[in-house]
Order: sequence, then structure tokens, then C-alpha cells
Amino acid sequence: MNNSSKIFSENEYIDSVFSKKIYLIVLILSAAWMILIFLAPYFSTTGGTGEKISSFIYLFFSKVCHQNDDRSFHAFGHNLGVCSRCVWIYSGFFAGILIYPLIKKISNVKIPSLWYLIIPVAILGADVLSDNLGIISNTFISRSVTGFLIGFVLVFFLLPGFLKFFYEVNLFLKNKLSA
Amino acid sequence: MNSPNRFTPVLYGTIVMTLISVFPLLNLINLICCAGVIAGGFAGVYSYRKQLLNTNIPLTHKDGGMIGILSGILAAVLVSGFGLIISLFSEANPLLEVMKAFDDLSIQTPPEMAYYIEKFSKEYNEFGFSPSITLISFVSNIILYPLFGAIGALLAVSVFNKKNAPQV
Repeated sequence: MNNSSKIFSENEYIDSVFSKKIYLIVLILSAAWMILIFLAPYFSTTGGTGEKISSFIYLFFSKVCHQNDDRSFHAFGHNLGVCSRCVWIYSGFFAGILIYPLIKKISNVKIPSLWYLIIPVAILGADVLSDNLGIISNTFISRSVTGFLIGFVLVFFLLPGFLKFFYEVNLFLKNKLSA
Repeated sequence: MNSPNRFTPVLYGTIVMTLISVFPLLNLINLICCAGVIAGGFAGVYSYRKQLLNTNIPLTHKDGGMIGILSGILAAVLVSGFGLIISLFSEANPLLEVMKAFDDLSIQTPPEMAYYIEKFSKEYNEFGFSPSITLISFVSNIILYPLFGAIGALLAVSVFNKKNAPQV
């Protein structure tokens, strides 16, 4: 068994300083992603270069979201970079990242029970399917709640994953360089 | 002990991501937070885990994450290239079709959107493809595919390791 797997299986903690650095990077990237979503409508009102930046941001997010006007929040007279559900997924993720240190130690890479992921995914899936099959039309509220929930719980599975990934890559590179 | 082949999982991941992204209707899956790309990362790690089942080698986040990132990079290049080839071999100007569809559905396009559709449409008429759209699409893909591929792969490692963890 290699060094990293030994560390995780025994106590599920990694170096505290290293984990804080990775946490900060994820927090900054998550904040930047949220800001981009709101910058898209803002820049479309400025004209000139701002308008070009805005259309690039809209095109960028068009890869990950349908951007349907009827299902989007609006700001500055335009729809946000992504639809309402996606806005809440990313908001949930950002909120999860923000309060993560209050719930558990950043250096603790143990993930919670899989049910915490399965249940929100099932609720979101039911909301999407019931709307598509014409059983119950979903609303801004149902899309927002289910989106926020999945974004929030994802943090507790993804952040430990990112921490372990960068920790193991760092360890691997150190071993390679010292060899 | 034979070391596991990491190329095959990357290939599996790339194939899943590319197929989901290029097939009409199937590519709508990517509109749910790049779910198709996340599935590709997940599939790559699933294939890698199958290789490790009869060995003592643990499934690490380093290997999983790298499978997701590499699959994402390869898929981004393939999907962008595929889009370019389709544009070059297609006689139709897709942007004119988009404008026609908007007219048919009585959707009012905002002036700035109409401006860009017209601008890119001119590029299609001149070159047979739009260099601006191709470039923006490639830049977006090369950022998003490895990112969401890694998310899918790391999620898969967490799920598989959790399933295999001894229950206390």
C-alpha cells in the first residue's frame, strides 16, 4: 500500500496548512464562477467591449445550461448566465464551501454516507421527470430548492475529493523530484 | 504484479463524453451542468476500478482525477474538431436556421443577440464556418470538459471507495 492510502485509511486527515490552501483556491474559483453568472447581464448593458465579454460569457455558459429565458432569473434587464436551477446549484455549492469549516475540519477528508448524495439527486430527478412527463409542472421554488440542495451536499463529497487529489499529486511529485 | 493500463479508462471516458456531446438530443444531457461530461469521468474511473478489482492496488484520487482531466482534454479537442468538420461539410448556415426558428416561434431576439447572429452568419457565408464561434467553443470546451470530467471522476472515486470501505 502506498503512503497516501495509508494516511487516509488510518485517520482520514491530511496536512492542515495544505488543505487550507486548496480550500481557499476552491472558494475563490467558486466565487469567481458565481460572479461570472451575474456579470453576463451586467456587461450586456455597458456596450462596446463589455458587450463582447458578455456574449462570450453567455456562450461559455451555454455549454452547461439551456439558458431558457422563461426559466431564468433576470438582472439589469437580461437573464443571468445560467437558468434558475443552475444558479441555485452553484449558489448551494458556494454556500456549502463557505460554511464547510463550521461543520467539519477542512483537513478531514472523510466523506459522509452516500445517502446524503442519493436523496437530493432523487428529489431533483423527480422534479425534472414529473415536469417533463407532464405529471406536475415544476416551479421556480421547486427548481431553486432542489438545485440548492444538490449544490450544497455536493461540497461534502467533492471538496474531500479535491483535497485528496491535490494532496496525492503533491506527494507523487515530491517523491519523483526526490528520487 | 501487472500495473494497470491507464490508457483504456481515459479512452472510455473520452468516448462517453464525446458521444454524449455530439449526438443530437443526447447532447441535451450536457445542459444539466455538463452531466454528460461528468458521466464520462465517472465511466473512466469505473473502467479503471474494474481493472484494479483483482489486484492490491488501491483506487486513488490522483489516478481518478487524472483520468477525468485527460478524458476531458481529449473529448474537448474531439468535440471541437467534430463541430468544425460538420460546419465545413455542411452546406447549410446553422445561424440562418436559428433565426428562422426564432421567427417561426415568434421569439423576439434582443438587438445585441441579433447583431452577433448576423456577424457570425457572415463568417459562415465567407469561410464555410465561423472562426469566432469555433475559437470560443474550443476555449470553453478546454476549460469545462477537464473541470467537469475531474468532478465526475473524483465523485466516482469517493463513491467506489466508500462502497468498499469496511463498515464499522
